[in-house]
Amino acid sequence: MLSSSLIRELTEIVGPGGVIHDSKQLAAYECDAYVAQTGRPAAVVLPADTDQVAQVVRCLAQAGVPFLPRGAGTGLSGGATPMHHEVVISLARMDKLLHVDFANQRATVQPGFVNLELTRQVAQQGFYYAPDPSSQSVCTIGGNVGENAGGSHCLKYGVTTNHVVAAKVVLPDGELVELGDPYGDPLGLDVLGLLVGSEGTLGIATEITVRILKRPQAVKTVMAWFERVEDASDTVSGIIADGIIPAACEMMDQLAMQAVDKSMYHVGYPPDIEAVLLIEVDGLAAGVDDLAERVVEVCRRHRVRTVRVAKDEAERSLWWSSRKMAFPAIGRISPDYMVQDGVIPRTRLTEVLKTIARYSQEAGLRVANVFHAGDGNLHPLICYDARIPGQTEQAAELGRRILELCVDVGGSITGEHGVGVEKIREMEYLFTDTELHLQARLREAFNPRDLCNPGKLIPRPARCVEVKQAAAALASHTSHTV
Amino acid sequence: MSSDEPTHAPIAAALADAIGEAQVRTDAHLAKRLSQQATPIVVATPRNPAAAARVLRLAADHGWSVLPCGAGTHLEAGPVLKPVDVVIQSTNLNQVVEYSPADMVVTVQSGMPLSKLRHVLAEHNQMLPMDAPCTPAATVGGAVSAGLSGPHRVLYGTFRDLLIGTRIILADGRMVRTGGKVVKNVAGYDVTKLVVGSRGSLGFLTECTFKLKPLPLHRELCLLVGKSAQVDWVRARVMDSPLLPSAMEATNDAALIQAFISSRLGTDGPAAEWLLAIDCHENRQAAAYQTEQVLLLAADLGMHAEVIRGQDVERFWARHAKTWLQPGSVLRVQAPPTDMMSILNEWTQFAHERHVAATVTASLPAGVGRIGLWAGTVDEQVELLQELRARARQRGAASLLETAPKTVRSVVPMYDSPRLGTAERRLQAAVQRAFQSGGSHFPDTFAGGMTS
Repeated sequence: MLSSSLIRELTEIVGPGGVIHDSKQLAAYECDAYVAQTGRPAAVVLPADTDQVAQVVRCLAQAGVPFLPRGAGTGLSGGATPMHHEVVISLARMDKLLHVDFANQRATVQPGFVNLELTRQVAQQGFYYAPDPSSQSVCTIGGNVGENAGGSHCLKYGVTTNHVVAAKVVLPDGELVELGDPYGDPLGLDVLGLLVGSEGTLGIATEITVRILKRPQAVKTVMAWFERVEDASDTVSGIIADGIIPAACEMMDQLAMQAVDKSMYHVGYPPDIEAVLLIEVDGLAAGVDDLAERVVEVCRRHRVRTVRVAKDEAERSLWWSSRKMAFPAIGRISPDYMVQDGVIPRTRLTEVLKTIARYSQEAGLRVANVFHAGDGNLHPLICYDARIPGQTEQAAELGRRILELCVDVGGSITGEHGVGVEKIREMEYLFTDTELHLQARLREAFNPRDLCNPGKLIPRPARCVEVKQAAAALASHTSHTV
Repeated sequence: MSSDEPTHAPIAAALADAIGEAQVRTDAHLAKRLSQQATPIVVATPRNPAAAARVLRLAADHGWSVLPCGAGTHLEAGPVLKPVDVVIQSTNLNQVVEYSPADMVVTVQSGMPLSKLRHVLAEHNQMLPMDAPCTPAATVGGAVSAGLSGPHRVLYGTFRDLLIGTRIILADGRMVRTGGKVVKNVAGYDVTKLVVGSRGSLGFLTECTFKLKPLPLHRELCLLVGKSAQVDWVRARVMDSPLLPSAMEATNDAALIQAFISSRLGTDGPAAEWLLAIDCHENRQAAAYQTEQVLLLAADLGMHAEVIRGQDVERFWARHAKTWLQPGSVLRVQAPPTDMMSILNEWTQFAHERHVAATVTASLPAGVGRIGLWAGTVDEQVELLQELRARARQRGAASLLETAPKTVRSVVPMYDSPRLGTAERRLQAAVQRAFQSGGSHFPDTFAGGMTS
């Protein structure tokens, strides 16, 4: 618990409704959408503007109290989970669209502004905000910045970091800094680029300037059913070899299809196909018919069973809902499930899926696969039953094996969900000690007292070794200069 | 540098011992190009990353100052350096490490020339879409470190968007990887972003992994000629449309206009003021539609317009680049697209009043413009650059001195921005220090750095 004087001080900054310290209310902040680990926050503070964030952070830094920023709490790796009784700084009140400059294609938002709301607000003028994580109807742009969120359309349009051009950031000591430049390139080292995806460990973005894009004139969506995963996988490579970058290219396996067909988004997938591909092309109306035809042609070259172009917006929307609701739909076929987020070189897809199937059999746990096939970002959904003793651990162990498999084939342990607390062990599998030390030093450059979201993203031992090394280096440096 | 200043002979001997005599030379001319120093620079061209690490470890042990460098084609950039003892050059690290066309990802050693990479990728109908003006020798690593960009950034972005992983040797000789070889990756901090434009201030880059794009299915470029206000009007209309220009470059380059427009018009007098080049990398049907729309806009304003296709498009961009490879001073401005034409006009007028031959060009939707000063004494250039910079700043725009003779760079600071405050500069310095554990002796922040 925080001291009553600190609570009073925080209340003076943000007003009486802006501090939560009642233990019942705090329960809602014990974790984000990664529920396997929880922790009770010391308090929750809800600042209303940049100045209040800076004051709150200064106040906590002075008291030596750790804190972490939180958006909508939709993160999937525990990045916003208070594992050390941190004060949670919720950006929920900072939900304004501050400025839109249509002529120059920029928008500035507060961090609590909801991703999809930005597209809604600029749609009238024909614009949209490109990064589209599945949770976009509730997740915030501040949270997206913290996680460097991706989405289905990042194959062609890039992830959050490709769309954030400038930000006001409150550093872990409360100092306010402006990073990036709204046009052109960063001047000097790209500190903003480092901040995006830093999972709230380097500071708190309080104003974020992003690119808004003109909505493509036309979109065509193709659905293709394959009897063999190999053929679906070769189709993805074939489309790209044909010189076409689809706006999106998604795949689901049979178990994911079964789950989602039980939901309200019933497509009616046949029970004997191994993979469904959802491929979208966009651009000028004059060109998309040809692109879609070529995609269909590539599917046919790879033994597709059935391939169709969506006949209207309603059908396209159903197909996308079927894909986007696949995660929650798993709840219909399994009491519990864990989502993983590995990345592999696209060309290793078939062999990786076979190995995952083997691991799944060995563990006796079903795995449904949903993924962004275009960029090799896999989301294996591990089905388990938490009521059966030991099965949660078994599921976690299976997840770990899958991530290590991704690393072994030249990939990564996370494509868009982040490391948080969930994948912190796998960081040691992916990176060498030297690499982890470098990242720990970068964190110390911003966050020397490790008060800002401690214990996330980089495994602790790296830091301990690092501190020892730094002390030794300092000693030798001192003797050198004397 | 340590207090007992080392001379070049023992440095050369120690390096020859470590990586072989054939990979070490002494260069007096380079010393004059890089800094004010009288002593020659020892140039090491290691044949593999392990040898490069040995060079850096020796430098760290002896307190030599080191400058990482590519082919050295872009050295007239960055602040003028303090004395440099050793240049470590990547030109012998020039191999493709891994190329998987179906993954659209390539990993190359940093010393590979961009021109060679282009050929390797074109065999598979792919490209690294970075079209900054470069000589054929310019290396991949140098271009990344210098943060170069060209007209097609409008569609494809910059190295910031294309570079997904690197290998770097830190100042103490230890090797680190940043990022990876997959296009989507959020494991740990995005350290790769720091490498772009870092000018060799973080370490010696040995390897780069890039996301690739398919070569355009079709090439079709609209060239519009007219007054500045007409160009700006077309820019606004195109930006507010669903059209997909891969580049939208406005320039007053008289030689370019002469070569591609006036000669066809049969006039040889002073060329029209502005040329607006609107490129398209979409398929044939989409390009035809875009061309039709652009020609309608031009006709509305009575602008002269023509369309070139295929190889002619390549020739156009090569000629555009040529102007920017001549010696001189190039100042870049970063401003809202809506302000760009007016800034360029103002800049052109200033240069004209000072009788300094100048050219401007701008990637309009990206908000990036450049002025090249091709004549004038050092004093004239310095005075003019400061004036141009002050005008940009008054409008809230940032500016960057991209290239200039040493004499100019010793007076005119590299960056200027109303937004670049002391807190951000301090963070940048702290980030740079984070790379330099132990006894590192790299030159100060952005001290010339790795160049193409």
